[in-house]
Amino acid sequence: MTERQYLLLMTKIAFLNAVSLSLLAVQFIFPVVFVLFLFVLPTIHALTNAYHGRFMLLAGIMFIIMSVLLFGLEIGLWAIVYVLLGRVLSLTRIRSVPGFLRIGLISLTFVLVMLAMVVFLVWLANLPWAELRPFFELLGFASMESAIGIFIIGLYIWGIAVAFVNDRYFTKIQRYVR
Amino acid sequence: MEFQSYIPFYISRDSWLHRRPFVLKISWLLFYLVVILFFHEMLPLLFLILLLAFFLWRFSVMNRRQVYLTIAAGVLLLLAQFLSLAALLTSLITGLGKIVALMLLAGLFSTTTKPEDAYQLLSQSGRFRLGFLPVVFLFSVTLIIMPTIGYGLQRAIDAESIRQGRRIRFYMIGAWQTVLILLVVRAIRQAEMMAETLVNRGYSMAFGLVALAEPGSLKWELLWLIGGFIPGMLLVGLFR
Repeated sequence: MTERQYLLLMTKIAFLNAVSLSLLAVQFIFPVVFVLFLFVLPTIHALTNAYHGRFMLLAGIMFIIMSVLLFGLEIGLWAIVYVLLGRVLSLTRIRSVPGFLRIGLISLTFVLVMLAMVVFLVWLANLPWAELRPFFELLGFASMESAIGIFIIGLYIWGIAVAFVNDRYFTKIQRYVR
Repeated sequence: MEFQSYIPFYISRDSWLHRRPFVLKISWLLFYLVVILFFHEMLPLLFLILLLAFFLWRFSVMNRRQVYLTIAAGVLLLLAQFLSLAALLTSLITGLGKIVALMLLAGLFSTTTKPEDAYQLLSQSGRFRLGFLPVVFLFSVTLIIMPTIGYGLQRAIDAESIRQGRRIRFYMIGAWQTVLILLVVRAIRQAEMMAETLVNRGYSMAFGLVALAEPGSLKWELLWLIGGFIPGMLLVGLFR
């Protein structure tokens, strides 16, 4: 990699991180916009699209650290979700993975990351799992396990929509940039 | 839509905490981050929240959102402590208390710490400097560019509003899609122009930054570092 390419890559990463952080500032004010930003921010991360593993990792870590330091832990957790989805989108694009498999991988990443976030938040709040059981039965579910199963299916459907929109958005932006 | 900034960015004051070095503040931040995350009792959380709110007020960096959060968290934690609530509700309130404590802690750090202090410290890293240069470059350029992105976003929104002949509302997904594509493409083009300018002016990643910060008195800063850990250690000692 020449000096010019290296500088261009680093500057592009910095600018795209700045765009993402600016959008996170909006999420800091209106937290509910995460629903929309799930369709946008992973694409912005995928655009860093470094063909160099070290810089992809560095860009993601820098973004997460800056999100936590500027906006706090809640936004930092969302930053982790966006970075991971963006990484999977970027890697599947670099490796020329077929479209349907790409969507499947991104939506699977989405489900796993969102479940990990829920588990982390439950641990953070020190919620006892045994106390949650009657709560699900009160809502009309046969058991906690069936509620969790329905939740995962719902997440997967949401993940497919997120993956599809991010993939299309990525293609549109690449068309303007190239 | 206009975006008002409620972000706790650096607020310029000449307070005691503003003058402390970056290493001290980041060490306290990380220590209290761990204390808050691993603590599940309500009274120490309440004490920490009040302590953080006091420091935010004392150093004149508190905003309205932080005042409301402190009052709300304080009331909820007191109610949970002195009323016999269900275990689930108590745990939820403790979790909310932790989130408020983390927000106040991060706010206290970001409002009293200049972002440039971080990368000036890294530039003095001696033989580790070359490894840190990409980090320093990314950190500094991102922070410098961020305010211009905000203006760029507002201009893109205004341009789309004029094109559509009406104000963009939050439900106009198509309009937002156009605005965001515009923003990202413009950012990538600006990055290319900036990189070209840097190369043409002879900037090279092989050379480091010139250190601008003067190192302070190490002995006193070490005492302040240890002193800052004492409230957290007392809380852990008393309530564990």
